Amino acid sequence: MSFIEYLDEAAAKELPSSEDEEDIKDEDTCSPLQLAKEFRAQYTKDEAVLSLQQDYVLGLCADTGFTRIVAGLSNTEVKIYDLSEGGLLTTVEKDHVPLLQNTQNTNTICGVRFMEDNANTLLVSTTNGLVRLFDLRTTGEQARFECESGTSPPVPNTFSCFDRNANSRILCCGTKLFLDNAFLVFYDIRERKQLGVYNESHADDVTSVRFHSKYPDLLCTGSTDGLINVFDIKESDEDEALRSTMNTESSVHRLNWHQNSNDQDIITCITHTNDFKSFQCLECDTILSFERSDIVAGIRRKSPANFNLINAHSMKDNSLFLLAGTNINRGEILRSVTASVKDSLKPFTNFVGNKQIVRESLYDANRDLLVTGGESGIISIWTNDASNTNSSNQLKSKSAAAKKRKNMPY
Amino acid sequence: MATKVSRDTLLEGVNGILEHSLKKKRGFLETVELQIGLKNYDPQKDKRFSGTVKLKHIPRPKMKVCILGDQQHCDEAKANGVEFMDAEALKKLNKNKKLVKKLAKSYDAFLASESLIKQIPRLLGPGLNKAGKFPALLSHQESMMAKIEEVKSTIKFQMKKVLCLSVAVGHVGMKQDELTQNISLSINFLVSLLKKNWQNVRSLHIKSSMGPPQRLY
Repeated sequence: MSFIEYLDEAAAKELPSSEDEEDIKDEDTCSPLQLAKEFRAQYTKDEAVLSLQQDYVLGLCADTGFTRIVAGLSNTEVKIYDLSEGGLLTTVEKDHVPLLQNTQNTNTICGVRFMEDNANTLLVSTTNGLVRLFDLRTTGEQARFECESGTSPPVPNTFSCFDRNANSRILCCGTKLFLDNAFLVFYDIRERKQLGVYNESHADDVTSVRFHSKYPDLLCTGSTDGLINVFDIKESDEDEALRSTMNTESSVHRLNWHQNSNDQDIITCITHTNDFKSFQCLECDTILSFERSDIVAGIRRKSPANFNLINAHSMKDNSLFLLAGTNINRGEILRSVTASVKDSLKPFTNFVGNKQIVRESLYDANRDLLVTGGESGIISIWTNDASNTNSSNQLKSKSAAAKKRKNMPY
Repeated sequence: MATKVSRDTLLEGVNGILEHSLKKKRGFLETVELQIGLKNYDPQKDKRFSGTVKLKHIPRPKMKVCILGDQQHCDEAKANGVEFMDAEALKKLNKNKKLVKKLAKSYDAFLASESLIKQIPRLLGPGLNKAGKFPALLSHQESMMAKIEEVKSTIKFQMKKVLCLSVAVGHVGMKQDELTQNISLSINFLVSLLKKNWQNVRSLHIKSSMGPPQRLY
């Protein structure tokens, strides 16, 4: 984008409220001109507001063709959108996924996944230990998967994460630590039954469960115990299934599978302290390791205390970029950096006009299109197209009006 | 942190703890904990508050570390008086669950050479994983003694259900400035991880195992 445009954008930004965030000082580490030189820009092609009631978008998934997006909210609501070739969202009318009746408000979404190659069948997991299967072409639940009670050792009825495998036959849910055991619970989706559990490989809450996108038996899991385990679930015995363990010496937030240019499997890890590591799966070698301060510098910001490392995505040429943002001023900064052994961290994209603290993201490498969801209940579609700014202006005036009302109660 | 917790408040708190520990001698070395009370934080929706932080001074002096090493690391361990085991010794355990559990219990932490760490699941099964004692990587690029110091200085923290977090930052046998530095470092790091930094902190206390809490914020 041009320098003038960037300055206009910066001048139009609202100042922080005096009520909060007064102590957090953060700014770019370079001039706007330098910023425009180092980062390419992407803009919101379209946006949808899923909630005006402080519900966060905590689950996002696209089907294989990236034609449909499912979003899960912190209040357990699920919304589905069609995504056009040009990046425009259309709500899928029928609300197929009923809200979980929950008066205590203690349950939230912990994952949404389309079944393989099928934009009509989806799995929704909530923290009350439940995974539900829905078919958008019919009404009602197709199936539900819950923890069997009365097992020994007892499995808690709280799921913290889940995934389905490459051929959509197996479901795996990770649980919190319960009486000294942290479980991976496996289900046969077709047979609708629980297959078994693993409970020896993690010593604390399981926070990430990811199956390989091609090999149906390959699974990696992460926990607050700092470990990343890789399993070959063809083996029935957990001892035999555990292929390798990597120690991040931190706490695992999010894992992803990638392939490098040599077709080798890579596992990337984002920790709860906003650091990034990647490992070569076969040899367990650490490939990349960046601390929070490195990545903050990479996105050209000053304060590591105002930093949120969101996700890692693969591009068409198998290179990697990290999506990162800030927290104050409703997450105004959203940027990405490429991450490689050769070039370390380099500025990549500046997402102009971001309106929320981003918690989830999806990347379509074919269209170079990013989807983000976050704490203001908004889904944004980001592309190189700078022409459409209508929707972002509308949203701006909405929040400005809300602020005005807040200051003038009479 | 200067404006939020003044240097005087911190020193007063630390002195309070150290004086109290001298008044009544205990049969064990009391741990000093930092307790953070959080606010405006929803454990269901907000990003998890969990991780590790490296302190300046070793908070748990009696930590026993064992090296699971290749030839070079085993030699180095021997020369430095650090306990170690090589691949052969691990093979002898024959993946016996009871023996692996016993090994896990014998040490507070393990460090393993690159060539060995890959073999752990094959040699020992998930026993060390379960015990929360899976080794950290010991590379040939760093000093073994430095890595051991690092492991001894690193503490874990995790907020579970209640909006309160307790972290071990030292012990009553430490000098005033050592404790102060550890506490200061911890506070700054932990607060920096919170979405709204100080706006998410309701209270701060430090406390020795048997002593009364000293309020810092």
